[in-house]
Amino acid sequence: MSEEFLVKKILPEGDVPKPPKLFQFGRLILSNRKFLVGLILIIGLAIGSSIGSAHLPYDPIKFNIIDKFSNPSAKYWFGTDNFGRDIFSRVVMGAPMTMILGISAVFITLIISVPLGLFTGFWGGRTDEALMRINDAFIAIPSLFMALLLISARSSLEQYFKLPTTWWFDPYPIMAIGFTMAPRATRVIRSAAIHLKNEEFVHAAVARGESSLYIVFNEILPNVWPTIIVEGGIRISYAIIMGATLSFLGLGASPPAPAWGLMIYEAKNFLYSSPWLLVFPSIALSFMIVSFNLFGDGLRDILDPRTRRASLLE
Amino acid sequence: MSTKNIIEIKNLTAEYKTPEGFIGAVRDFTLSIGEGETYGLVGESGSGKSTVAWVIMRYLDENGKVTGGEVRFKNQDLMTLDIEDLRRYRGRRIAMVYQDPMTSLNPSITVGRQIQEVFELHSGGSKNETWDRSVEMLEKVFIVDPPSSANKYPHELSGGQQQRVVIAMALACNPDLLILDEPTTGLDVTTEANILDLIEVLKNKYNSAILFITHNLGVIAKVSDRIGVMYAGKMIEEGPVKDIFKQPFHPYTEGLLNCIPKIEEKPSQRDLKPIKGTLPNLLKLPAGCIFHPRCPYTEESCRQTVPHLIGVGEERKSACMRWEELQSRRLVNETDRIQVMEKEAEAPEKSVSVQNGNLMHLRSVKKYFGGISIFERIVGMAEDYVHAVDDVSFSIAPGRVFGLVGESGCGKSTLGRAFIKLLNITEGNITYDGKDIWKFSRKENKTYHKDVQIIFQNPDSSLNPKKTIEEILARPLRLYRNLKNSDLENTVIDLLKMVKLRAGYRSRFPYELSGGEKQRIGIARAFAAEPRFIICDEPVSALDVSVQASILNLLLDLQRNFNVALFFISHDLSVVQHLSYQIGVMYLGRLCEIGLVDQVFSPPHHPYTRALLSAVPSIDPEETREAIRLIGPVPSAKNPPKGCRFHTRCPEKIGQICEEKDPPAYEPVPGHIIYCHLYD
Repeated sequence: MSEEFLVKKILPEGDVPKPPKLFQFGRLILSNRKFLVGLILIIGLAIGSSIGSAHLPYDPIKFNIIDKFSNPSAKYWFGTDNFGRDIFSRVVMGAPMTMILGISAVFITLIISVPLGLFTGFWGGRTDEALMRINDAFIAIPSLFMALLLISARSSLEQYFKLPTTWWFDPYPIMAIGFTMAPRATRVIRSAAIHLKNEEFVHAAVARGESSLYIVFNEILPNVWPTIIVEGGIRISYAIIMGATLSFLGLGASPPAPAWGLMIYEAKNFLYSSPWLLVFPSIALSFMIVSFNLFGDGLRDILDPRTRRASLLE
Repeated sequence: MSTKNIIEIKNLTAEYKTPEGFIGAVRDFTLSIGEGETYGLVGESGSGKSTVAWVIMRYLDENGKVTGGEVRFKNQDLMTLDIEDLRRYRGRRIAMVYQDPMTSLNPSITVGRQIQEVFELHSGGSKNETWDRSVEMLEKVFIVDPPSSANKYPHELSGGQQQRVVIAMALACNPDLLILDEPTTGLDVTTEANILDLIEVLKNKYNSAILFITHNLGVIAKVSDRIGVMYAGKMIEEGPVKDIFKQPFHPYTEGLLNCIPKIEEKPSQRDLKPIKGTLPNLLKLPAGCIFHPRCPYTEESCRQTVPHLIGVGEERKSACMRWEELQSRRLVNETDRIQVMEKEAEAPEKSVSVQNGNLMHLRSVKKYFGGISIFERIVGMAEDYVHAVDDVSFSIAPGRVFGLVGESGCGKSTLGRAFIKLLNITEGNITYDGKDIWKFSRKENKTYHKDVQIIFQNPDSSLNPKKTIEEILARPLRLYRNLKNSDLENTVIDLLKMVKLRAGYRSRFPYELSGGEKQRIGIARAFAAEPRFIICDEPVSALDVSVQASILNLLLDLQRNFNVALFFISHDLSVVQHLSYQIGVMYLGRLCEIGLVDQVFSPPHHPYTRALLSAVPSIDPEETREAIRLIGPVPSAKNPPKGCRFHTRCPEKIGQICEEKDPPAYEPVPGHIIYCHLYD
């Protein structure tokens, strides 16, 4: 059997032909359907909601009492609510709010959990034990409870310093949700650090007399990025759900903000008058959560260390 | 040896599908083994030898496929068997032993039961009958106290004993073909010697055909009748083992035999002759002869035509088209070589005096791990330390290579790490330039970290995969030598040149380099700091044989050029002998013997040293070295034997004194110390 089918161009010794990084990255992304679908949906949502918010058919807060409880029609695509407000406009307006809430909350979570998890994982010993017990105490409190607790401190906090609040950006629920998710994320990142702690290149750094700060941020962190990204991606969905729940309980956004959770809350009194007040925000919420889930899951598959390709992404 | 062939493989081609393309792991491979014959298959990584074994067992991974040729077992085509028949063949007529016995055995089932399963599956019988037969098998592989050992779990046995159990399982049904895939690679040298003896004995009893796969030429020389040498998926030479080792007919085989350090009584420090270049990437095979880029005799014709395996003499085959021409050339060179060697032998002997002004001193160093908590102490449990290093004292001479030899668990790595302050020691002190290393001021500590560097064993994990080579090499330069900008860049390029890599490598990532290249970067990184002392923790153990030689040569070169002291830790005696000026032999946390290389490797010996020397399999099949075998398990470091640590396995134990008193230091010549009661 001839060997010709295996012979390729002879290259100078040691040279590895590299297709451009972007190309390999692109190939990687296209190989995972979950991720692609999730990504497309999110991009669609982002673009659609931002363009849509600029060109709403109706003012989302304006009352049109005459047309209240109307069914979906050519005039009002999703129908109207109890105040005659166009549900479609309100749903579209709610999208960027929800996405911003999800992403900002995760941002806060990561800012807390990444340094904490990395250092405590790397140091180990008694410090790690102590910190983890405190961490465990927080995890033991159910997330929703924790978020409620934190947000109930809002009024007292507002007495001391007021954070800028707009209708589409309310920092208090964001911070509450962010802090709530931090302990669990810390655990995950800590275990990644513990794995890496035993790698020989970390030993090499310790042997060089490097400081802990250097080792954590220069040796360990670059290798933990995949874990961080995946953790973040998955948490966005949780954050959105919690945000909706808080709004539903009246502790997140306040009327007349078109937050989906709030819309669902308001809808429950009018179920017999018109189901559309409930249906559309719910569908929108599920849709967004599923998109972020697919995105996060797909991302985890791609960045699975078992795929050697993970090393291509920095 | 009958000519009826047990297994015949003809023109086998097997491929693996990978995202980068199809890899022809085995190409046009032909092999046959007769009844009672032991065939050794030799090759380095990527040679395809394990793939051959899996093809026979029909156990290729999902992405593997046989795309050509045939495999016949006693004239039955193995590739066409259906699942039911295949089950009857596996374990009963063809059996396999793998490299790592710990993972080959089920950790939650007793070893007796595991052997029993083989009987239950293939030969039937009542529970008692099969149990008795499995105990019998344990006896046949010389496991101590078979009835009670049969009730032990794998983790309760040592590596050597586990491998015996696996061999027992394989031989249980008296298979026609026994395949062993690197069975001793994971074992210590002394254990390996015992297992190889065992295989010798069993060969005579069982008369199975044996396919022995390994990369270790010494082992192959010991067990095989015929061998086949594989390179990058092809068989490039075949023939009786003695003939091949005496006179190889292929440049690759010749290169392999030349690049292995040999144990000799009077070691010469002649450079090893490595095979230049690296193993080919199976996706980008060279045109023509696959070995030609690395062949010292290559010509234009080697690039043009693909050579086939041809008969070249009595039962011998070679895939080198120009073998005849090269043979005559070699005979001429042989006479030249002998003259060169004689001249070297006349060179003045190395000075025997040990220099004063030692770099580092170790005094009664102890490192214990573990221990029990306060609670357990109150309850009354006994102290439970792992005595990794137990009272070791010696000195490191500046600018010289100190080799530390010992088997796994002897504490040599622990000692290496203690030097570099990765671990702190429990007792004793280590002094550098007169000062205790744990009592340094911040400035002295920084100097110490610069002066003392380390090269790790595993090239894959000692470099940060997210950093470019440039970043990896720049760090010590920035940290210790305060270099910046263009100075920094130029020095990085100099470092790369120093380890014989092109400047273009600096923008690469570790995963784009081969094992040998990564280890060169590790070496460059260590030398970047301009150290005075480098700990080398088994730096070549994870590399292929043909690459080891070039790394060792590089290391020696740099050591001589920069006059750096090396602390070379290894379990491989021949490598240590080749490199070192001074050698220390460790066993279970203590030094047995220490002295200059010539002194330690020639009598008088510590009994352990003597056993180590006789256990190393030699690639000279004619050589007869006295075979000393250590019997008994290695004691646990948690509860080391009192008195001389080695007395439980020592073939020359005198008597009670060895069990009670610590052996005294005997110094036959200044600088050479043996810790043994024999010389009291």
